[in-house]
Amino acid sequence: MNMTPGLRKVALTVHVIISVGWLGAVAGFLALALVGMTSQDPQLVRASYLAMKLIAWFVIVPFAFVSLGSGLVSSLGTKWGLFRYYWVLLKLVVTTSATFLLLVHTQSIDMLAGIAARTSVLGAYPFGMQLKMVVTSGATLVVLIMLTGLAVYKPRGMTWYGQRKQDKQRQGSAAVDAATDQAQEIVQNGAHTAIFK
Amino acid sequence: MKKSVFQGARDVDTRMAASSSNSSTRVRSDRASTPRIPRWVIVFGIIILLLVLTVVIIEITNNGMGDVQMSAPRHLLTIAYGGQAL
Repeated sequence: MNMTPGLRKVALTVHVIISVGWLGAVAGFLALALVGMTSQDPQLVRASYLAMKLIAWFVIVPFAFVSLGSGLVSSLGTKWGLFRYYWVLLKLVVTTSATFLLLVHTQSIDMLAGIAARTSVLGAYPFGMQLKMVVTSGATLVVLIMLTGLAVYKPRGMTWYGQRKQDKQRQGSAAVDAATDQAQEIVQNGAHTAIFK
Repeated sequence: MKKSVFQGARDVDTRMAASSSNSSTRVRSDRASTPRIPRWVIVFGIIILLLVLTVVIIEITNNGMGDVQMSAPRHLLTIAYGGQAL
């Protein structure tokens, strides 16, 4: 199921824009989480957590799903496939896990934003939850940088499934070649017989 | 001599290609049935595993395993969801 070159480029462009946008949004989220955890200015901390909630729900969550979807379309519609190469498989597994982790942590983000919306007391924010925001967004940022590197370098390495597929394709094309050669031989022999009759 | 991760992966592939072009059919089929995992996959896997472990440790030390309702003190939940202004 290969896409036309035009469609493939559209899918790839969408995937690159959304994935890099996701990375940028997570970087912004990490900056706000750090400010929220370390700042002594109550208004700045409130603003940070309120902004984090908006970024999470309106940028990070949609971008994570669109990135996953566009990645699936791009891989299934091209020669790369979904399970043939380690770099594609790794991207799929990590993106799915990161999206799941993100959904789990939206509860904590909502709670911190809920506290920020109702109080300006710095001590009201649970430190463990603040630390969790910093660590998870930092880890996600590192993972997304790694995934971007994988997508650019496309390091070699075919999975067992990919090698099996490739072998089957080779066998198929070899059988077609053999059949073509045989047909050509028959035609040539027929022509030769007709000439010398 | 230092080798990069991707250089290492290429080496593995080259070795696999060399082994598959071996004249012995038996050796070729054995190699093809057990492809080696490239070094870069192992390195990436270890880094990701360490990151996941860090997140899990943070979750455990927060005593919540991801469940906000369990990890947060009751008065904070009241502030966050109950609308009580300080």
